[in-house]
Amino acid sequence: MDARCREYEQAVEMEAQMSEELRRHAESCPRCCALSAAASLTSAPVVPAAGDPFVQAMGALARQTVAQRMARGERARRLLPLLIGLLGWSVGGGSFVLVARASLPGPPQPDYTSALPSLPAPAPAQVVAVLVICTVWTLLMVRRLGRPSEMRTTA
Amino acid sequence: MRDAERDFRLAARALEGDAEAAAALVEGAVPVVRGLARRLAGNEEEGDALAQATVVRGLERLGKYRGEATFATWLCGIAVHLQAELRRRAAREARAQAQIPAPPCPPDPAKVVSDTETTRLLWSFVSRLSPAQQEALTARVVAGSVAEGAVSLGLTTHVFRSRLHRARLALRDLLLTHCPELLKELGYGR
Repeated sequence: MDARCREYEQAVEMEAQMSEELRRHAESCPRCCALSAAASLTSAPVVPAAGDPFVQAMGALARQTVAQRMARGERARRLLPLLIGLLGWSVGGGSFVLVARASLPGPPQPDYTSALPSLPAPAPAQVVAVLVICTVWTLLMVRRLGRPSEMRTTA
Repeated sequence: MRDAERDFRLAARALEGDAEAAAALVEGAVPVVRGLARRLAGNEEEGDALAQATVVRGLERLGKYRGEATFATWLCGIAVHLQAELRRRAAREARAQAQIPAPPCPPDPAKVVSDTETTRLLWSFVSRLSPAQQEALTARVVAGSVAEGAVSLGLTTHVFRSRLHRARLALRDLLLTHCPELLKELGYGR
């Protein structure tokens, strides 16, 4: 590789304007010819021909992907308050029943190895009260965490 | 407004759920991505499949698009990686079957990308370069300038220029090794 080749490589690297002398050198030197070819790499965009639906199909794919992503996000948003509401039902209901049972008079000698069976069964009014409180709890959680619009309209 | 800025705004709207913005973003980038994908794959059918896979992956990763380059340039980077992935997978499958990969079928003249012989030849060798070199070359080709190509890959101009030059030298060596005669036929080396 001579000085001209190095000069040519440098010019290609810097994408500098080629002098006439360097251009002539590239025509006679295979290494520089090949480098010149390598530097001339191009890629023209594909102009869609008439009736070629590719671009529209890709646009439709993009619309569909965005719609699916939004639906996924909406499902997640809907699921979260419902899960929290369900948790509220379990925790609130369970605590209330335990407290209600414990506050009633129990048998004279409770069985300490198993506390629950020794407690009296709750009255129907207590069960209704638990249901009402848990429903209010769930509604509050759902409202607080933001219900999706379609739930609001269908509820 | 710069194209990259416009694309970034469209991408932000698409991420907020604007389907029309997503469609506009993709439809604007597809001709460039399709052109590159066809050249990387070597024929129209595989190129279009690669372009489609690129768009799908680009939409999946839309949140990672930072608007440093145009959306088309960003997608072209994905296309290069996908093509490299496809080649690796094909090579793995061929090794697993302990078979010598069959020579590629002669391309259907009607389906070959309508490039000049030089361009077609050059692209056929680009796929033999390392992914980093392919990325540098395609970024330069698609972005249109060294500065934009560097931005699109998140590199400094100096590093990008150096990587691009190494890629061009590697491409030159491939041309010299594999088709010196063809170079002469194409008018080089006279």
